[in-house]
Amino acid sequence: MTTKKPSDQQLVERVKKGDKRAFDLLVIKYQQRLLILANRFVKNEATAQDIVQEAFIKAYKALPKFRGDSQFYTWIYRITANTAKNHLSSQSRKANTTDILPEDAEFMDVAQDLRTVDSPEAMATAEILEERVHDAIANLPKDLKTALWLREFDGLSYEEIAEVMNCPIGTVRSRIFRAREALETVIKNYQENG
Amino acid sequence: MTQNTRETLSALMDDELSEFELRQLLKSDLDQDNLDYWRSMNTLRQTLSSGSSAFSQIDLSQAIHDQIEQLDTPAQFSEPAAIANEATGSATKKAPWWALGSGAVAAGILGVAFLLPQMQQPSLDGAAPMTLISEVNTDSAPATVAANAEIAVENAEESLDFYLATHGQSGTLPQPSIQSFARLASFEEE
Repeated sequence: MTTKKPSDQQLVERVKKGDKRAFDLLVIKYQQRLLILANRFVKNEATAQDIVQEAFIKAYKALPKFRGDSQFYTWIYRITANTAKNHLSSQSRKANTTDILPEDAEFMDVAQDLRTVDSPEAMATAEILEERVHDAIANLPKDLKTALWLREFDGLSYEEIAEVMNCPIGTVRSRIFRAREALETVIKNYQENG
Repeated sequence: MTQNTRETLSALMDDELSEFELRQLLKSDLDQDNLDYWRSMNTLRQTLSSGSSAFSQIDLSQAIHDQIEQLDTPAQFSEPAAIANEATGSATKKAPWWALGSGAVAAGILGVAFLLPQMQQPSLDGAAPMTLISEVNTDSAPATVAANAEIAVENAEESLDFYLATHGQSGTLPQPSIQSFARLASFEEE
């Protein structure tokens, strides 16, 4: 069996070796969560975008020093929080937020926090996406739905799902992929049209 | 091919990709469609785990990518650049072998020049010390050098004659077992 490192660790190693595409994948993976975090500090979407952008650039520059003692997300979370705090300091405004510890980064439900600062319109739009996604999952063929459910909600590995569903790992991988393909249309429509 | 790339991205989402597969993925044509797919999959996960947000429609990746492209690439990030720097460094930091060799020869000559005079002590009987290498006039004309050589040979012959005359007498002593050192040294037939 092939040894598999966590994806983030592998991507970070690739970035350190000069592969900027790997950094693109990390940016896309975490930008939403970090936007939510930054917006919690500054309560302004445009400023939050600037902060997240700055945080990623700082992270890229500092990546050779990143030893991997913590997870990449915890590390970029800390950078983003500090960047947001610095922004508030420079604006001579007091951060109207509770302290967020970097150790809590992986456990914090940032989307839940966002709802407190989202506009009613934004909240309504976000709820529409959730409904569409859940409807699409409900309409998936049973084997695809089961594989996706075990992965996304129960957090099982492909090997574990293969045991549960009594099928090869390759089939699990294929089923999860096909399920995501079916859901992609819903997501894309939402991202393009709202 | 795109389907394969997408399936690989799906596996990357789940930490189910080997290092080899990741390298192959990054080498492959990761075009905008594939990046959009990756973004959609992450939005899907975000929606399923924490609910969606207004930021689902925002994508900063291109802006960040453009800024990174403008940065001076750190040496650690660029393997070819790092190799180039190492090559330059080796040329400046390490002396070539022949320079080390010539340095050693120069040090040796200096050592001889300084140590030999100190090793030469005046003879106890007040005789003049031997001529030192450093005292040899290397600028002498060839004729002068030849004349000096003739004088040296004549002196040597005189010294040898004197030595033989002095020590040869001991060879006439009655003890047959003792043989004159001078007679052994001479080429005279007995």
